[in-house]
Amino acid sequence: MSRVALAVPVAAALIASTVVLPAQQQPVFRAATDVVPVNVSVMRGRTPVTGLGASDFELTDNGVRQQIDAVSVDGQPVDITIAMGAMPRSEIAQLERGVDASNRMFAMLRPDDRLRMVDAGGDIRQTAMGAPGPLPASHEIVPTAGLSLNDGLFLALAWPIDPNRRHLVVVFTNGDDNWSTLDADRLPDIASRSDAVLHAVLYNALPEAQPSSMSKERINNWRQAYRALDAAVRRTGGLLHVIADRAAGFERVLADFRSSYLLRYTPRGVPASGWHRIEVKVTRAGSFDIRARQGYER
Amino acid sequence: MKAGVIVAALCLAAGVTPQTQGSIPAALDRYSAGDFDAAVRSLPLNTLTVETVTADADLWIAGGGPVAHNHRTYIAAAFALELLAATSPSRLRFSGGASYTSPGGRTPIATFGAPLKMIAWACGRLRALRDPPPGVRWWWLSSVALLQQMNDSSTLMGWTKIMKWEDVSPEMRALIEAEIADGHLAHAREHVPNEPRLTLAAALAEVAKADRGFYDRSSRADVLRSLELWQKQHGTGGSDDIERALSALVTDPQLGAEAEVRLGFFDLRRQRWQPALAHFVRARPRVDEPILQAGIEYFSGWIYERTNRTPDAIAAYRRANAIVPHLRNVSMLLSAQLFEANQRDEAYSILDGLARTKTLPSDPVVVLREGDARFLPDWMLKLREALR
Repeated sequence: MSRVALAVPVAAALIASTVVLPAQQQPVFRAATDVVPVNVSVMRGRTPVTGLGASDFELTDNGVRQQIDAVSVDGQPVDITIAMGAMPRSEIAQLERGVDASNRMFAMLRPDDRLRMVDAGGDIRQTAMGAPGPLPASHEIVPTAGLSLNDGLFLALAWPIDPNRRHLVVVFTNGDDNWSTLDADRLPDIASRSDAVLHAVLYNALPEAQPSSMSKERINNWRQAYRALDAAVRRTGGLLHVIADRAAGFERVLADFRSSYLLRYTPRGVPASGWHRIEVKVTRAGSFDIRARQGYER
Repeated sequence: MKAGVIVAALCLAAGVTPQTQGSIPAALDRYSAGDFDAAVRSLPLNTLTVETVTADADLWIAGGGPVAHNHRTYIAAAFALELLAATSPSRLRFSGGASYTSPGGRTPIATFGAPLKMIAWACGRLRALRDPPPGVRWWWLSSVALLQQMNDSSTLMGWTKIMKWEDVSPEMRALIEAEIADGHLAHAREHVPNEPRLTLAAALAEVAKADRGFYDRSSRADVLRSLELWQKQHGTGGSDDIERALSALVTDPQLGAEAEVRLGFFDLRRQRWQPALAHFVRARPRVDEPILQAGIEYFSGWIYERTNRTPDAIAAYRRANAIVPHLRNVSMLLSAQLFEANQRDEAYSILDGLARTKTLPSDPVVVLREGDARFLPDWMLKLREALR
């Protein structure tokens, strides 16, 4: 079935529903190729702004204002990919005290959420775990000879999205990478093309605060990795969070993601293929911090 | 009790003493009987030392009497290689802070200092044989490959650095000094003359001397890193020694194809894209090893990517992936290219296949770096067959 053939019925079904839908009445999207999902976080200071509808948003695609077909808040089930290459020291200390950060995190998930783990160590591995639950005993984050943050993030971000679900990628990292095939410079572009929202939880300080015993080259590489990661999360509408406790970091990300709006629209008046730059504004009076993906490729 | 008496009687009748389970002599008996893997597994590889192995093996050789001396020496030398091969992964992992000497004069076989001592001992014993057994060729080839895997070009080519050997017994010291005076490769070539793989090994040892950065094991070796390492060491300059050593082999019917691939890879590392591609074009019809064929396509794709020939890069990476699936770097680079070209389904299916593969094939860069180590499993099998 071609993209064009699908566009008409999907678009027609959506035009009639430009309202905020509660969780139980989510529209079913049969094709993800024509309908563009845009996750939008609207904050005033540290507080999420609630109660916004389609008419409160102005969305442009390559500068052309688009009609928003549907707006939902926290209604869509979420596919969550957790990527990590090494366990933070703070968490190892917690484990020694019998505190299991992984299971604290999974307790925050809902029954219809789905979970996938990506290990970004020396080798890249993924475990699709389906419904949330305690980590299987076989899934240990085993320290390996390398850290492959870039490669692991690519695997996480490239996951094909289910049109009726949202995809959140949370990476726990110290920003270091010594094993990836892909350069850090490549991450922002990959993130731009992903339908996921990427959040990075950094469990240590920025390279400037690292011990002076590190070589200049190492610090420069690390800084470059931070910059690339920062650019990547921004392009998806996500954020960098510096927080040592993995479960606390996850809680913050999840709260941010669940309070964000999911806008859907079918692009009109713009060429079908190529890069589409997206800009989202809130039309209500006031000052808002708005985060949304910066574009997509068709 | 009764069984023990029978075993002891049988052993005495056979002219051997009964051996303790888990001891070197017991393991050598098992190895000699063709129970190769079990013999290696029977020993505590993490704690075993070179000194124990060599001293006990000498006793075991002597225990066989003059008639069995030749065969037992060969068995013991082969077993020494087996122990080194079995502990190779541990040794590579911990090679960073290791040294040739160990406190108390004892060198665990899983450490960096072990191969020189163990090979010096085995080489010395084999060279002293008047009548080397048939099949010894595989011992020499395997021992050279093992040193190549460790990038121990010093032991291969010989060295003059004065070491303090006060922790080493006088006999072991004499064996080591004999080994490093000539280089192990010279001993191997003396015993297996006209062996093409040893000719290539000699060229690669010369290359290794001029190209230290390539052998940096601090991170995974892929094309990008080896290029960075080259630039760090040599800037954009070349190395006549490397080019000369490899160019001399290009017309060799057995080594020419691999030499051509290696020359192409050197040009790639010096960012001489067109000469590199020309080498790969010449090598393509001559190479019959899949990992080198995949390497040609991988390296070509890498050059195409850097010269903005994206469709050519994708095609080359696809060819590499078809020849040897699940090469980590190739899969990643191909997926990234496809993802960026909006061919997401294929990109993800390659990534997914990679993530599901438990044991990934060695990267062609690593294969080139490690010389003939890729033949080690096969050569060790041939060595075993020759022992039967």
